[in-house]
Amino acid sequence: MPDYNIIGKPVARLDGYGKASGEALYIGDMLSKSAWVCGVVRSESASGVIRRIVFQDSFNWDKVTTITAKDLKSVNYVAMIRPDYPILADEEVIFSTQGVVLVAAPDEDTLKSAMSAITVEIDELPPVLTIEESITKKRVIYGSDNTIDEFSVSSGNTEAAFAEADRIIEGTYFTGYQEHVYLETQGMTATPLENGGVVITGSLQCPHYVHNAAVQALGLVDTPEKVVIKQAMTGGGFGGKEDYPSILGVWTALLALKSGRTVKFIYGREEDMLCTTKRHPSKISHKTAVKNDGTITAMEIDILLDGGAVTTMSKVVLSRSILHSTGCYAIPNARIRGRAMATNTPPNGAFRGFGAPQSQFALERHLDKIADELGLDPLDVRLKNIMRVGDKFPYGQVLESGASAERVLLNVVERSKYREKRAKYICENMDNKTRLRHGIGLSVILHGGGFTGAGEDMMGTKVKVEIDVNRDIISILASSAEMGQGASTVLPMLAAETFGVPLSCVEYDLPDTSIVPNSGPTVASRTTMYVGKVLQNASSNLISKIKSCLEATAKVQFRYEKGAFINEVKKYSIFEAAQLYCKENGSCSKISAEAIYEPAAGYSWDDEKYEGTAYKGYSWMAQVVEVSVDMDTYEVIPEKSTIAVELGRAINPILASGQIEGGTLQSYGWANTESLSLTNDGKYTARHLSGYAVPTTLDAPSFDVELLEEPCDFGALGAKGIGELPMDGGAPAMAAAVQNATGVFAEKIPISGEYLFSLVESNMSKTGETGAGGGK
Amino acid sequence: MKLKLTINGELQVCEVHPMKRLLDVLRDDIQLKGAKEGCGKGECGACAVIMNGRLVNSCMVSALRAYGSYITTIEGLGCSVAPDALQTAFVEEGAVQCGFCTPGMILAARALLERKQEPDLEEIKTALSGNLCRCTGYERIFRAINRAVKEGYSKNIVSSSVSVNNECSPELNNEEKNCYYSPRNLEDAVNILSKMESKLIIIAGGTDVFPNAKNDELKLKSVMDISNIPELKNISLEGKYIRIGSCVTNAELMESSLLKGSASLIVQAASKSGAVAVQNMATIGGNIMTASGEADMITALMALDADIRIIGRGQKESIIPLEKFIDGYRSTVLKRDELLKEILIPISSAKNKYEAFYKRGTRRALTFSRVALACCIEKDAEGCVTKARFVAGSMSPVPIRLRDVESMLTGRKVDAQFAEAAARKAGAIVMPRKESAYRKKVTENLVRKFILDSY
Repeated sequence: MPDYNIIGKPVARLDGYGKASGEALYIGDMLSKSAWVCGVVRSESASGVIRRIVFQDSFNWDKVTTITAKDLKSVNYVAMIRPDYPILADEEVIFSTQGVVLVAAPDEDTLKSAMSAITVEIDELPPVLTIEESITKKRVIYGSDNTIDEFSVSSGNTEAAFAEADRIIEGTYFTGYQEHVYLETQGMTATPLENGGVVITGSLQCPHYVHNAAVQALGLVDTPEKVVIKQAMTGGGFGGKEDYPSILGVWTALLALKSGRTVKFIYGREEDMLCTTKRHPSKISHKTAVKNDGTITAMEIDILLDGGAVTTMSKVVLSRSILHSTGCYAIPNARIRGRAMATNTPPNGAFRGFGAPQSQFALERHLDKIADELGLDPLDVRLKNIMRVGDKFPYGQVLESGASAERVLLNVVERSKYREKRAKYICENMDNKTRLRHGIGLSVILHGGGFTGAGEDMMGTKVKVEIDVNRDIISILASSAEMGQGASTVLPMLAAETFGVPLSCVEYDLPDTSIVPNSGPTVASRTTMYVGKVLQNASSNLISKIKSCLEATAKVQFRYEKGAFINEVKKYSIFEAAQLYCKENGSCSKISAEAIYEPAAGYSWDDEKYEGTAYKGYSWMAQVVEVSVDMDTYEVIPEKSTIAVELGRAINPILASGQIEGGTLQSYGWANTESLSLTNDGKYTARHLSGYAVPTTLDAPSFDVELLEEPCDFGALGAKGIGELPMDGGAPAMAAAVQNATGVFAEKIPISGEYLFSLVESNMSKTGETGAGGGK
Repeated sequence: MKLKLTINGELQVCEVHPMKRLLDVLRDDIQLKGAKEGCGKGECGACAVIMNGRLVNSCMVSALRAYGSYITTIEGLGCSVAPDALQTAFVEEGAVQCGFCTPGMILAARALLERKQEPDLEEIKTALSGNLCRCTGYERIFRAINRAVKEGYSKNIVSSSVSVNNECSPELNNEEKNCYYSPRNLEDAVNILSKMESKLIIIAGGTDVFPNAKNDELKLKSVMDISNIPELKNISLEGKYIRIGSCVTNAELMESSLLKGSASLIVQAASKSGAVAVQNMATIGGNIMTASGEADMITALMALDADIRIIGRGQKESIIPLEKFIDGYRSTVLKRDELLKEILIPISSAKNKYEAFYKRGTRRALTFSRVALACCIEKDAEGCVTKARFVAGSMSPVPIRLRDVESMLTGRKVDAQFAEAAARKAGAIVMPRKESAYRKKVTENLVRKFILDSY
């Protein structure tokens, strides 16, 4: 590893003390008392035609501001991938909890009275609530056939491979909803400006997404500068604050402009749980041609995601799901089809992993199934097919370097003593008498960093750095949001390293769209890798700019080293040199430089053909999880998790490990305790945290994480993405461990007590025993 | 009301509504924004503060209740430029990510270390189990606490645990005096009830009332807070009975050596309820008054043949078996002018006594029971069952005794075959509405497990 001063050091996060002392101000901590409060009258029906909206005469409507679809002066959509998310329901409602009337009032009591004086009368239609109903076109509710998006990939000659296969193994896998449960609920405030614009401040991941949506909704496309988005300290996002804040932002902006007042809209937990986006439920079918030794010769994969009523992010979620569906394995012949289907349910949206957790759950479970059917250890089937340098993905990309699947897998197998323990547990569980069982399972997954396909090239990420010569401070100007993941520490570390100055000389404020350039949304595990890289370039550009000036003035050459311009006779620190620059340039007090992401030559993605370089850097993660299963209560507890990650470069190992541990627990929660379904009228079943069980301290395993590095040319100092990676592997590993403990094969998550019980029961009736041992 | 309380060592006085939540008092009136609202129902711990030495969820404490209390908030530990060793450990060990749970989490750790200087990992996990963190996976939080302990943090804590003077009553204005009551003795409480014409909302711990209160319900109705009545807060012996005051908290139940020795079933049930901050407020009487199938304390107490002592008009007392006290879902025989005074548990003289409380929720803390089972068996010297009690909770409107199982076992020596028959019987009796086959099976399994373990 190169000799870095700051990179790779366990630096404490820069916002840590503010947070640990309670001084950090989140949106709910900085509200104006005089701001009006907001509410939304929502549809109680999942599908129907709005007959009329009744505003009762008994209420004095002069006291409040209301907005219906008829009042919208610009467009009636929240701009996202497609203009299909209505700001407010107009003639029809397409999901339960859909907004129909916006209300702002001077206080909570008035708001409640106003909202209860509004009735939305709906002629209900039979809703389409499941993927199955959507596919069979019970009713067509979206496009011509309910398909929101569809992509396919194929490579090689799948038919020939199936004809020649020793065995053909099939399986269908299901994953459920997942709620983000960021500890801070959604919240936003908006203030009208005298120029007809608005300032929106809130808990969000993507300032420019909100900006774009607000500009369009307010009809300010010609004067986008009139809309300003500011990120407040954000108490967790996980993707939940990627798309949804655009909706809340548009709503608050509309209310602020119509009422002429500052408005605030902080969701209570119940509104947040019932109305905001969830992870797409999935149904994924696999059909695989294998040789008896475990070699996979062909795969057919059919991916179905439940998109909810409109697109939100489904198009790209589906794409990522497809592109990750063969995971870490070299599959010579493949045919993959993916569809996101519409249902009359609240639109599903971005959630850490973005489709990849679903498809890699199915894949990893299917590998376990193949191992079962062939009588092999799941580890051996994985090793047999693992991707190496030179192997090709089904979409045509050749893995040129950084193929670390085998490395991380062997690492965790060794550290966890997987083989010994698995054999031991099989033996122990064989007699079926033990009521407290132990099991062990593994998974190996990859995750592509940054936007899919040509996304990064099209994004044109821009970052600016600026030196304030009055304070000797370097400021980073970028739109990357700090939501707990550590961007506000990692980006300054990268800048400080590039400039060769102490970390204390670098500042990074929460983004404000009127100040920072668009460096893209804070999503897709792209911030460290891509924004960080552009930041490095901007920093280098600034150094060059000052150097040129210095050399022109002094008429001698300088080299830049450890924060200073040096030659044989003279040495100027970066800040001294910046001062000289400013003197030379009309006594300015700030000097800045920008950089824009430059597409790498020779790498491209073809959207039409759906092939090419999907991601320029893949991160790899293997884990072995040990669980205990109480056969009396069918309760699964993860006990120990041994993880190896190859992440290119660990810019900050503490923060990196924190991402891995937290993401893995989120994945275990998804697999185990986090159960969420729909009522018959298309509402979520859980409205409180007690009804949706995210893991507590007592539901978490001990974590042992090892970070391995194989620098990637396309990321900042070799870094690849890690934010989403851990979400992909926890669930299948846990299901495998449960199998090892109980002998039953879960094709579905969450593995609730009731589900595990049903599996054990049906296994018993099959084997005629009082349980079943091991998982062969 | 004029609220007086000591926050981070400073006396604070402010004018607030008696039913204003402590969380809102801290944030709006004292301008301390460290306590966060994550759910408003005691289900996340983001609003946790230390009150009179114990961790509480400030979203479930009224101003009336907080009157005269000593509160420690995150701001009382250290500020960002002068953090204390626990805050420093959290930051340096990477235990902070989004930061929204952090103030509550640090205070949960602090409350633990005030009571236990060198906790082991299990104790740390348990102490933090009511504080959700969605970012870290908890690993680094445990490390941070261990580091602070190693650095001697616990020894330097000046305990915020102080004896609180309960005698001075909250200063209510005249209008409030007719709606909000906070009696300091039992006689007053009964007298208040006697003269009330409409129904009073009675708050003991508040852990059931606050989460279920709709909108400003509590501000619109009359309320009596009975948490400051010393007569209701004792655990003592009364002849052949253990007497537990209705306002004894779950935490106090868990700490009682008397109960640990003679009625461990209660200790087990209390320790499986909610999590620390809830246990610190929730009372045994409050749990009984919910009269719900999911009320774990009822399940445990029924297995102990508990009686209820009621006090009413003219301080007149009466005793009724718990099973009769609860006469339906969310319904008791308690009249409007009566109060649940205490719970009486007969002390068994049996030498061979086995008790266990099982709870299966959706996770291991902060969860409602999907299946709760209280079991108790007494045997004579020959190993013959002299008494058996099996009570199933959460699978019927109110907990039910599995009498057929009990009578099967009584008078017999139990063997494995018999355990199996009893288990099947138990599974057949319970009739959960949802997840029926599963919960019946769990009931069956747990009855079998209990009998075999006691065998």
